[in-house]
Amino acid sequence: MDGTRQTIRRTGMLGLTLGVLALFSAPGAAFAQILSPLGNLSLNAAAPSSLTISIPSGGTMNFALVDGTAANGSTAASITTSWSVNPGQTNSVQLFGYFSSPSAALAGIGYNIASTYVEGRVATGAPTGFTPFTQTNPVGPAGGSLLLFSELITGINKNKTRTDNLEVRINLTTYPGVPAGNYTGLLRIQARAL
Amino acid sequence: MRIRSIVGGALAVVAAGLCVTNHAGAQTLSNVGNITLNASAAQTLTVAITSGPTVNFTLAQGAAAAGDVSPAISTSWNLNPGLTGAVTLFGYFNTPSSALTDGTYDIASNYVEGRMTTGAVATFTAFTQTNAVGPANGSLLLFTENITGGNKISTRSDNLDLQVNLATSPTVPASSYTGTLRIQARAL
Repeated sequence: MDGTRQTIRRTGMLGLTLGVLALFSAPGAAFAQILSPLGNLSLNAAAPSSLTISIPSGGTMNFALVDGTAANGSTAASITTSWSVNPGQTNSVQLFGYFSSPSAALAGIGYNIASTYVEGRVATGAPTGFTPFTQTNPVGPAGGSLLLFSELITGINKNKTRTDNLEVRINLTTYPGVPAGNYTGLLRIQARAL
Repeated sequence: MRIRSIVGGALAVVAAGLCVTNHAGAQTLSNVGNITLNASAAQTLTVAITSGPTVNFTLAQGAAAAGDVSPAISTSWNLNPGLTGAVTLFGYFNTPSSALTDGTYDIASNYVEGRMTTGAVATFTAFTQTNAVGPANGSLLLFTENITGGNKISTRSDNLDLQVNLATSPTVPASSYTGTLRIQARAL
């Protein structure tokens, strides 16, 4: 009798244990995986076009003026132009030099030298011969600028840095006479991508 | 077919327009770099004998012999009125005791007279002054012009009349005499 009871008890304990195990293992099967709908996050990155110039050397030029002759600048200005542009949006990069007031490119006490008498040359650019700053361009005032170079943009040169030397002289060959004195002026350099 | 070609052409024009618009709107300007230009025009002062650089005299004892020509002297300057008060022109002999010589006999500068009617010497005056230019007792001030803003750049031409005046000279030996009269301007 005792053996029978013991067997029954053991069997009950085993059933209870299995039941508990079944209870804890059952939930995995009971919760079905649920996935949310897809949400799209748009990533837009724009690398803007860039265009910069710098004048690493020759930022100051000195001229010893002599009536009836052309006075060369004491140094040539080295101009570095760097760009990163989209060839699909940009046809060319151009560099210009200009005077804000062409009638007073250089000013002295009571007397001005017009941009007509200031000439520039860029052997690696557009005016290979000395040319006065009297052009009308998209950059600078009318009659007071000079195109220094123009470079067409392709896939090859869409990212580029170039350096050009700008030589400047003051040509008084046809000038009526500059009064003795000191004259100063600012030649502005700006690039344009279009 | 005709309508299709028209529509096709119109589309092409629109497409081209869009392309142009795309480029036109993409201008990019760089920063501005400055190049400083410093120029100086130095003061200048020059003289030139534009005519009559050789003057001949036929000497006459006890009389004044006028030169056969009056040299024209052109004086040009470009001066800063803030730095220069006046331009002065002088004539002088290096050796006043021997203004003209034949190698043996000398005619001193006190017998050589000049006149510049457009200058400072209205009547014939001997080259015996002592001036800032030339040796003592051997020069003659020919003109002085004050510098202002109105004449800071100028060129003027003056004629210098010369004579060798032997009115008070001892007899001059018959001979040929030569000399050099120097002309120099000064700005101060």
